[in-house]
Amino acid sequence: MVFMEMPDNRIESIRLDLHGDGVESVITELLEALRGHSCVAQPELLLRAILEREAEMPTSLGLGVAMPHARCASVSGMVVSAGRLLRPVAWGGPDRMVRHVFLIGVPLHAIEDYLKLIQRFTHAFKRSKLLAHLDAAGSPGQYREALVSALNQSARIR
Amino acid sequence: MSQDLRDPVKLGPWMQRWALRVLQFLKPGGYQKLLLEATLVGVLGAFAALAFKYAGMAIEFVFTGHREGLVDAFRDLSAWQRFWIPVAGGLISGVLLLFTERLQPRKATDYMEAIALGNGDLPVRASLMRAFASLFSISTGAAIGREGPLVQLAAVQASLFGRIRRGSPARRRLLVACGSAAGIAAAYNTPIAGAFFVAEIILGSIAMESLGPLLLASFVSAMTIRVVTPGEVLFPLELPFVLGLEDLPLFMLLGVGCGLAAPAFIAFLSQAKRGFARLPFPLPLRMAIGAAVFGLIASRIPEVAGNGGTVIREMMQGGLTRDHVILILICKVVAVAAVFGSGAIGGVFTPSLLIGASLGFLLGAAGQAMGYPAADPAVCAVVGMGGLLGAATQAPLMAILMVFEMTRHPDLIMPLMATAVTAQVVARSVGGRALYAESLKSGPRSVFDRPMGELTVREVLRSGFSVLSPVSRFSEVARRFLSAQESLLPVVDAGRVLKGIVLLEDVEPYLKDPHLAEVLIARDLLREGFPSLRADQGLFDAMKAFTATSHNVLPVCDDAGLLVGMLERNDLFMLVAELARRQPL
Repeated sequence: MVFMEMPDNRIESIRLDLHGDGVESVITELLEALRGHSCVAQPELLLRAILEREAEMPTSLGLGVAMPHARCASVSGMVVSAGRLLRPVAWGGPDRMVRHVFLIGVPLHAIEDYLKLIQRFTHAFKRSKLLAHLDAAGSPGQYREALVSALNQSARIR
Repeated sequence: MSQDLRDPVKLGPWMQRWALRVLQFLKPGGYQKLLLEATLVGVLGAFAALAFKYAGMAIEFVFTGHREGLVDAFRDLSAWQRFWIPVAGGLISGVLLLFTERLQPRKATDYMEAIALGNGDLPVRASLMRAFASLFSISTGAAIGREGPLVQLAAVQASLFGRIRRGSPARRRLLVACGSAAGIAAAYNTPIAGAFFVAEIILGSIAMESLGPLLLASFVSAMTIRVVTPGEVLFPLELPFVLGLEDLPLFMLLGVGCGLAAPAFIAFLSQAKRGFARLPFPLPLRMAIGAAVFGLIASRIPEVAGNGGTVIREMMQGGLTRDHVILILICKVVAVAAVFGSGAIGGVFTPSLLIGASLGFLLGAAGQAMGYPAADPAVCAVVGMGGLLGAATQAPLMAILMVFEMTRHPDLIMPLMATAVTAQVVARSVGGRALYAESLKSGPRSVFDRPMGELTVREVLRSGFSVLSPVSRFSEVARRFLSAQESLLPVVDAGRVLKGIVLLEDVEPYLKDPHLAEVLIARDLLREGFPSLRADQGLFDAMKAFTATSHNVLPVCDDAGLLVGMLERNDLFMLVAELARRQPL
């Protein structure tokens, strides 16, 4: 596996006050943060693609984390919008409560980068104490620092 | 649509990881899969050959009380038994054949026809019934070889295998060729000649695309036989022999003799066939008459029984006199013509070897009597086999390899070359027809006989393939890549509409990752807008599409976008090569 540093500016937005009470409202909130971003031409198309993808198979990892993601023609570069919910929501079933959500938009052609990023996210959450650090983060800056550090560590281990 | 939606192979995580590593390393394409299939066809061909051989031995035991060798069995029987046993066998065989024809009116396709003219499809039930019928004439002494039906049986299993795999016509045809090569290799313990027999005589090409799978099937078949049975050399020869320049005239003279004898023998067989066809009797009676002619001869000369292998070995070991060989040669030719002409199913390949061996033996004996230094009857008998085979089949390379493998005597290659090539040139010069000319001229028409411009992709595609659903989990994607051994997998929705393709090269570094197994689905990985073919497109368009892509397989959809099959580059080019061979510009 090629080692690649996680550029922290790829995480476009971090919000620690998501107050949505369902999958769709949380995704919409996270997408709002990407509105106007140069890599996302039409956020509505990305929203539709992500919701369709969620309908096919919910993206909850089962650790209180969900990664709604989709490849979409209206996305020209990979973008991540992260957030922590004020109250956990059920994500794909009542037994799958989620507090941290990472929305990922991917261009149609970027299959390899997409797989790489998803792999790093899943590894970071399955292995490290990242979840505890994210729960404890008091500001978006601390949240970003904990996340990027864990993702980079995950890339090194791979 | 005939797609594989069954659960793919289920392996434990550890085994799956290793299997995926092997798959990634090998990167199997169409040709590698063909080689795997050829291997399996080779093993199955060997077992089909063994089954036929043992069934024949059982029937031989019932009728003669012997299991090994019809000549020995006939020597122990009384003259009366030597007459009535073949007649009974011919009658039973004729009745069974008549029954088969009534039950299966469709013409039973010979494996040579199926490969050279057809698309490789052989009627299974009719072929099995004909093979069963042939056992009765062959195992009751008839002077023909059991190798013909044995090879047919090996080819039938390959045809069945190709149909079950739902391969393209080009692939199915090549698999039947592999089955035939496996059958020949199993029958004579000659793996190289088995492949070359099919390549040189039936396919008419020794291109590597076809020769590779043929050699592999042939080799695997011969190895299987050697593992399961003693796998002895058919005609072992221990004599030291080195070809000198002064010996060349002798072997070229033998070549001339074989080159004249082979067309005469083939013409005699055709004449006999025409003669029997004119008889106003049903098939069982005609076959009984043919067997009666043979039985009359066998009642005096038991050496005419069977395919002739035992007599060749005795000739090589010096167990026969010159006069005895002359008598056997004349009687054998008449006996073979009577049995073969009457409609019995069997081969004339091994009887041809006996005729060549007899000619060689007689020339060697004459040369020895005249004090010619290289004239050894045993050596000349072996070389004579190659000469007659080369002339009769018009395939000298196969003849040289065949006799070399039958004797495993490398010093014989040079005289074999001199004799077989001379024999073929002489046979051609006198306008002799090849032994299998009839089989290679008549037969069912197939996709390979139509003008290339008329053919569409639908007629040549592979209808057996694995698919993914957009919601197939990553773990299933990995399992399907493993079970299908494909470089790409099409993704279709519930209405069978092609949504895209998942490429092995995109996902292979991640296939082993257990964390991704339940996070990703096929939809996340699919490539939309992947080049595809329409089922009604012509072959020229298909070739153009392949020249524009580096992928070796493309999905084929109908007008509504429904996936109907896959077309492999290798299959398309094999098809075009065969079309060009059959319809030269």
